[in-house]
Amino acid sequence: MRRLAAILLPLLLAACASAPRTSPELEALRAELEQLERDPQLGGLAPVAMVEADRAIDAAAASLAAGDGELEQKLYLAGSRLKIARAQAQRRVVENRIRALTLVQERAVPVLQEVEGIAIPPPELRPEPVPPAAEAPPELPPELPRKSALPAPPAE
Amino acid sequence: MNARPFRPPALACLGMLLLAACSSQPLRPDEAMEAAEVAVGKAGTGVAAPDAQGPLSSARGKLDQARAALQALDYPRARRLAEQARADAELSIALADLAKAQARLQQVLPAAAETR
Repeated sequence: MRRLAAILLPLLLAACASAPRTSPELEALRAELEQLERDPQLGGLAPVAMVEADRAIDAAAASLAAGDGELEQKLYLAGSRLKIARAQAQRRVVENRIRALTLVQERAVPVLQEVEGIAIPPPELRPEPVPPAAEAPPELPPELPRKSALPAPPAE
Repeated sequence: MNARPFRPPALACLGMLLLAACSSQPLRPDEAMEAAEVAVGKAGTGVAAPDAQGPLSSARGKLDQARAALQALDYPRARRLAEQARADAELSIALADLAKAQARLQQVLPAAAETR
């Protein structure tokens, strides 16, 4: 009997020691972080915050393994870090959109000003077209009005 | 001559016990408290976005509780509350920044639609 106990006890202890410790909350946080990292729109937009969230989840896992009574606290902090990472990534998406829209607007405004600022003369008042020179490209005299690229207005 | 058995003086024993007790005494969470104070102060100066209000009021409440725990010399509780207050405050800042960016986008969108 003693021999059996002597054999079984170490085996039992070893089994307990190597049993994987986990918690549903911890696994949920890990899954959420992985999903955020793989998100085609948000993934990679807040790398620092995501690393911090990853570290906070690791700290929670360490608390779980050590059984130091800090698991609940570490889970709370990891959850907060994850929310911060998501909010920062969402902000970057919005900022990128603003940048793209502003760029389009900045490029469009000079074109619009040019189009609106040129008075298109009627056909009879338009200057004779200058024939292209065969040799050197002609330089437009400064007196000539600027030619518009717009099509001629319809004759009334 | 009978050799007296070695008996450590009572004072030395007491001192060692005292040292052992001191070594397990939790430290004052000054660093955590300071970080929480800074984060809550920073979160409080941001634009009052509705989404950011919940975490901000939670952070303020926890910081108050942490100060009370510190005064009561309950250092572990003070540290936990200060850490949570800091996390809540930083979440509030992130949500306020997101709200600000979304508001800016709403301003840019009509102008961008006109240029199209």
